[in-house]
Amino acid sequence: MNSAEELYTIFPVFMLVDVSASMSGGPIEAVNAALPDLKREMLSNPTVGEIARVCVITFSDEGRVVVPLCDLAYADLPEIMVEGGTNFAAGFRAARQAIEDGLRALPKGTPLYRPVVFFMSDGAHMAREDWHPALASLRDKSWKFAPEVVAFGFGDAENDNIREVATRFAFKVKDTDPVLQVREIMNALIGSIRTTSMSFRDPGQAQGLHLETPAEFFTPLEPLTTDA
Amino acid sequence: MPDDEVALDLARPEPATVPAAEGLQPDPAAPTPSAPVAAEPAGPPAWDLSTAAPTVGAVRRQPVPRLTPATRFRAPAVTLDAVQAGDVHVAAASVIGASHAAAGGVRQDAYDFTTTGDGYLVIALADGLGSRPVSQLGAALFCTGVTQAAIGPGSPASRAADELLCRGAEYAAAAQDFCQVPPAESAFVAAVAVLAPPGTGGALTADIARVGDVSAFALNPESPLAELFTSDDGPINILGESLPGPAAYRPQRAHAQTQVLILATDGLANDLRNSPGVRSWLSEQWTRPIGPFAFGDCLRYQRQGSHDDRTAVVVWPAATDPGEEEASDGCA
Repeated sequence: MNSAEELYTIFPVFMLVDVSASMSGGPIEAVNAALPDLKREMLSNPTVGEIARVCVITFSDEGRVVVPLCDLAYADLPEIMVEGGTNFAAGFRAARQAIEDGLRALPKGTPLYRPVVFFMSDGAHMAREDWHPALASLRDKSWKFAPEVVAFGFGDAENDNIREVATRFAFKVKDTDPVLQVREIMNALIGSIRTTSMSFRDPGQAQGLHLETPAEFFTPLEPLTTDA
Repeated sequence: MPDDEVALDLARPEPATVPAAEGLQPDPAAPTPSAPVAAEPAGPPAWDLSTAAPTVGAVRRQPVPRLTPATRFRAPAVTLDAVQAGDVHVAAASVIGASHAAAGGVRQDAYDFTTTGDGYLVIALADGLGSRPVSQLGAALFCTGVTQAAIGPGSPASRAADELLCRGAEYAAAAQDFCQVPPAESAFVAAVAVLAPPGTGGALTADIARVGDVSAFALNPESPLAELFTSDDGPINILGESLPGPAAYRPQRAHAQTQVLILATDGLANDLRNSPGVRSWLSEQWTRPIGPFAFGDCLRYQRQGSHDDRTAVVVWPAATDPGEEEASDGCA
């Protein structure tokens, strides 16, 4: 079907960042320092900049969209602040809503890469509510915009939780310094956006997602369930 | 971008200072060869020739194309063709995508075509998978395999697109094995079109088979460009099947009768599908046969997010001699 309006290809990327109290100090500063790097990548690399659209979501006791899905090259970057506890469910709900809002706002028929959620957390879910239903909703295969969820754990994150969150790719950061851990995750995230934007479809194992997670920095974790 | 890289504005080439048609003629007012010619005090030299091809959307500056050292099985960045082939005129071009060029990669698309002794035109078109290190090899081998199967000695040559697609895939697999390249490193998607000799009405009759998202379009007067396959509306970075492999035995088929047949890899097909600007530009340029450089120039449009290789093979009934058409090489 020929489109009546210009439809530009979009690679939607959603960063889901833990901002609980344990992220205070160096880790949250590393997150804030990495956002301008991502913006620079958008500006300097035309292939990435024309395709990738980024949304930043934080979660603590609540989930919050701090940068809606946009061309990051032209976005004003907020300073991400540390908040309170850790509620995975709030984060997953906010991510699903951000995907729905962001992609529904695009012109109908816009060619899309499969959305990717990069989840990063340094701790365990602390709220009373069960986080699994919200995760199941985010990963619902019948949902048109069901994303690939790539999970990064560091600090006190529990491996089993990270393995459960990921659709196919879960990693634990090897470094012990939380600031370096965050920096390595953000570098992996930027590299993965770059490589995926510059590659094209692939029926192989990666299904179009190309991760830049060097073995010297990351330990791959076997996901508990897969969405292959 | 590192500081030592030079950024050229490939989206906006400098206009040519001499019109192409005049540039080929001796200029009676030009100085004799012995006379010194003063250089124009101009800005930086033009990167490439000017073009009237459109720019669609917010296109950013492209870096200089580069080549990765020790690249295996390098393919030329651009190929062009325009020939009379029996009773039809065929033009084709394959142009490296901006993302491949910028990353030091190579063009991974390939095409080939041939005419058979009994008047059929056989076209092969293939697109190497972007993430595979030498997929351009598989794509090129497939196209050679199809055309050789159509004309070669040995078993009786088939006139069915699906059979030729199988033969091309088998040839690619065997040749990859000879080159000691694992099939997974050179996977590709592909299509084959077989056109019967044009009838008295001049319309083309095509039998097309494909695996993957290489596509075909029909262009007819007074009608919008029509895609001959149903496009998948799923995520564009996820593809179902590729070659070589068992997918060769279950291709999608399409049959068409059309004035102009267009075969395109997805780098171009996506733009034809999703861009009224590109569709309008190419529909206008391809209403009649054109020459190789004009054809290549048609693919020089710039479009936001369009960074893949672009390859097209277009067929017209040769009702008129394209050489007699005024400015047949004047796409722009």
